Amino acid sequence: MTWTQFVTVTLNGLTLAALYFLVAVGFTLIFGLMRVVNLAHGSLYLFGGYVGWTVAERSGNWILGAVTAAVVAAVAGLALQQALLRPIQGQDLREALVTIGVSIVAADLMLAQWGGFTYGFSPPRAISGGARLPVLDIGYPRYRLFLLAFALVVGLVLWLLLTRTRLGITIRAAIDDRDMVSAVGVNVQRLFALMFAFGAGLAGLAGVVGGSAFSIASGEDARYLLASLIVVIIGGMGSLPGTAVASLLVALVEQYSLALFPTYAAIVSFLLMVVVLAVRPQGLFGRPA
Amino acid sequence: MATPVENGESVAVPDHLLEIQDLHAYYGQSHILQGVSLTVGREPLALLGRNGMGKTTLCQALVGLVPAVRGSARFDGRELVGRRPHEIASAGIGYVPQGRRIFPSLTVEEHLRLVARRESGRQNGWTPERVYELFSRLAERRRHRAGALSGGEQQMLAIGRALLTNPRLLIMDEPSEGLAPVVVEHLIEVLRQLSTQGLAMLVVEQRLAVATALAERIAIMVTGRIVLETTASALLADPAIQQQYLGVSPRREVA
Repeated sequence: MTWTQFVTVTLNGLTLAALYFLVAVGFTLIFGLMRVVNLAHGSLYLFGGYVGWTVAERSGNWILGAVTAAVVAAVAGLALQQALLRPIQGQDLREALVTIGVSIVAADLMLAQWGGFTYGFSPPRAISGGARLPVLDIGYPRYRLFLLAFALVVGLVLWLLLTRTRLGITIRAAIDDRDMVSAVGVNVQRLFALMFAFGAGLAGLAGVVGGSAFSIASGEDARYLLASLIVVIIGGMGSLPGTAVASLLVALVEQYSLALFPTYAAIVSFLLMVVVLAVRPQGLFGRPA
Repeated sequence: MATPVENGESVAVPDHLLEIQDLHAYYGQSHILQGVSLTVGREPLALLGRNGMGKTTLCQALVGLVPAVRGSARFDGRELVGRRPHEIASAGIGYVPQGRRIFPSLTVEEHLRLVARRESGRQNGWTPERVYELFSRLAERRRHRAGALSGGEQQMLAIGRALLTNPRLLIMDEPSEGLAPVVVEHLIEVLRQLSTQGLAMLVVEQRLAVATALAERIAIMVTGRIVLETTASALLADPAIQQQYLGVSPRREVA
């Protein structure tokens, strides 16, 4: 690998990690807080992408598309939680099956609505086009750098929220022990609804922000669901730093192996997962259940 | 009915603050509580019994953490059965669970901050500062993660956390479990002090000495029922009863 290749592959890994982080962070917080493995999380990502694309295309405003995607996905997630998941709360298997069912139905509905085409976004001029990186002296898409910065900002804001605000303290406490949080006077149902809407909204936003770096097409839902699952397993349920580190690991490993031995690249992230599961089953930053 | 006043010395607590009548609780197929009736008023009540008799289930049922409950438990005249835990907490019941169940990833300060916000309109206001005054050890450990505290410190934290909900009744499940004698003595002292200030208490205990030090009223539970209500002095004076209901042997099933 030449130096230029190495830097490019590394940057690709970092920016992919940014996207994985954006998608997985809502997934892991929902999982940690409510013990619900939302297997429709990828569908929310794709749904956000399609909705955002449609709005951006009609209005000519990418930012409006992104915001709409976040709001619409948040509402969809909230509806899913309130209408389907809340009545079966605490029954892990049923919750998993219901969310799988939703993801299958949603995939077909979206296929019917948006077809099997691949959609590309046109982000604002300020964040598109190429950039010449100083020092490294390598050309790289400006949008990808934006994606990286955006994920860093989201991660930082979330970290401040979780560590500095009472809402964040409540969420962390509820990840530790939901029943005790309710026994000190917190309405955990409201907390669950809020978290579900937030995680879903972030997935929808990621559909536009990520879809603009890559593309949006039928099948992406499964891809990002899988990525989120791997990230959560490696990072540990409900952990923000865990999600960040695992996103980096998974994406970098994926990109390096794609560059070095493309034939076997697909299995390398699974190998990573197997190793983590064998050595530290609760994930790198997770606590034993 | 009077509410506790600021730093109140002694405050009127109704004699029937908590009235449990024929309370049943189930975990799946198991019928754990089989018709419990008890009253808690201004005097602390200690509930004794061997392991697996349903004492913890009673505590959990009262604070709304057991879904399948039948019967009645009225707190200050209002029914608790069927209400959700956060409603029961804001109605004025503080819960100090078995095993303390502090939040390991939160610091001491975060625990207190988490609870302190929920002003429920009552004026006897517990604040983090008052909790730190009560347990100066916690003040020293303010920034420590609760998971790294000693057992005694965790117990203080669990009590402080419950106090911040401004309870009129404190339900404690085995507060002395796993604690060194010195720490237990300190706890007893603090709890007695709280009791004289007008906080009603229901204390589940395994240790006879702790139970009788905390409460003069004693109830004994066997397989989900209250089989005996007595006084601390009567119980201490009667080894036969101690042996029958609390001793490890001879095992006698009362079903």
